Amino acid sequence: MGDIGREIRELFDEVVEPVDIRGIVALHRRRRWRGWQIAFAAGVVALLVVGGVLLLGALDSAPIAGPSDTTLPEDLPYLGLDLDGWAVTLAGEGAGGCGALDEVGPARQMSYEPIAPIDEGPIHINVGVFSAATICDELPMPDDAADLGPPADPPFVNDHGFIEVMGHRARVFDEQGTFQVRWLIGTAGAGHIHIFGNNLTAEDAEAIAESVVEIDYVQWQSILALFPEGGTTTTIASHDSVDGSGDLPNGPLSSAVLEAVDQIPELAALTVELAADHASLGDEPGEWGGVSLLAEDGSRIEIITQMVSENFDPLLVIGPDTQETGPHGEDIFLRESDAVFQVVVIDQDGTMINLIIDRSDPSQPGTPGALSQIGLDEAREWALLLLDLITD
Amino acid sequence: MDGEAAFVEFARAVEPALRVALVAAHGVDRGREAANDALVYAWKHWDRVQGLDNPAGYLYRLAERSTRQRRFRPPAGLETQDHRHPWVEPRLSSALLALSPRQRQVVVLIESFEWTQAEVADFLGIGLSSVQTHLERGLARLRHELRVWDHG
Repeated sequence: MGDIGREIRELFDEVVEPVDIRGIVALHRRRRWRGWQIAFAAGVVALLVVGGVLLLGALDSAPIAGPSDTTLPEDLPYLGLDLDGWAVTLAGEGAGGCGALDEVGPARQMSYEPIAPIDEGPIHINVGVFSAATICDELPMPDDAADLGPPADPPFVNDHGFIEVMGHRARVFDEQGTFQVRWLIGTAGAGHIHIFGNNLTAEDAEAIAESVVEIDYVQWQSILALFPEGGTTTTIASHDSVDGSGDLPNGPLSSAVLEAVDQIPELAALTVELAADHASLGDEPGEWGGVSLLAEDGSRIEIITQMVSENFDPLLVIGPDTQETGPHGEDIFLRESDAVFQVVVIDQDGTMINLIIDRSDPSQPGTPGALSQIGLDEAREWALLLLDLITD
Repeated sequence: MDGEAAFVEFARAVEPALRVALVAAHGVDRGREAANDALVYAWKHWDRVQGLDNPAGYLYRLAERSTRQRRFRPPAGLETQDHRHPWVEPRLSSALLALSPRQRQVVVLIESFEWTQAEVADFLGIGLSSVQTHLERGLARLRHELRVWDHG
């Protein structure tokens, strides 16, 4: 390539004039901190510190909900509960999805617990933002459970056409005969709410569930906003396979991902646990497919590809975190938390790569796992490279 | 060395890489403009930029962000109407355009500007293995486009 390399250099040298560095220095003023600016900034910082101390002092005198509690959000009317006497805790991240195959994506959860035991016994409600790429039967259904099925009438389809109900609710008795209710509310990929309560009366559970389904688009966004690191994941599930059989067909999309994975040594070294194509749910009709790669400690990398339209809303698959532009105009969306890195890249033709990397050890949540050494920059680069390889 | 002299020395060292990498990815006009904008930023914020571990890489990423546009736009070219150079391999420009932007950056910096793969990885903020993959695939594509087959 020597001659061609030289010609490329000549092309660049001749076509692209160097930037006029002296011109930059002459035309633009360098910003420097002057003495009065430093003093002003120091004053502002001091005011903030004093204000913060005073505020903390005031909060100290307020009722404390619990040792690990955050402030009870005031904008949670959708729970339909009288939350006086309740604590809300950001419960961290747990497995998302449904069923063994799907418990691959961490999901943010909030936990509501009574501060003191109440008459009906302890009630525990989790509200999590999980993947709603699929809605499936989350619990093994005992024989005596009553499956209430999806709501007869979708209780909310908003004007944006964004949320649609793919709800499922079930009454379930656990092994001890304790009544639980689980209510899954699916949205078009942005996540679903999952509520369960222990020792709830059927009436209480139904009341909670009924109130939850009344949320609208704005409230849904407010729920997402409560999860500052983003709360959505996408999972690979077997329930909506293309042929409807529930099998895991390795179709063209997942095959393309597999071929691309083989080109990246770090990914090729992992075990392919699952490769499947699926029918897409939500407002992006079509198919999606991908692979789940397994590290030695069981943590996973998921890589999913899908063609999306120009109007595709990335909120369907990733929280509203960081957005960048790739080297060829790709839209890049990044999510970073202690438990997961997620990179979504969409090129100009609408091909999407959704890369999700577990960072914690699945057997010891909260502790770094085998994939924790992967940096976000590396994940971003892999996603771009995978897209390049798939579309090549 | 005062601030201005230090900046000029730094800018002269980093400018070719910025310009070439950005033009390779975004075409002549947008790439050069992005390189210029990044260096203007560096001068305005020189106190901070000069203290960074990898100021060249930082400016590159800054410039990339400045080129942000909506997707579904037409691809950028290496040529403009006013700049055509018949003395180079006539298919060279179109052959380069057949590469992905990242492949183009890596091929140009390594094959034409004799950077090491490690230097390119550091500058672009990507992994060594990614550089290797981009280089191999970029060269293969370039050879195919130019019908230049390496018989060695």
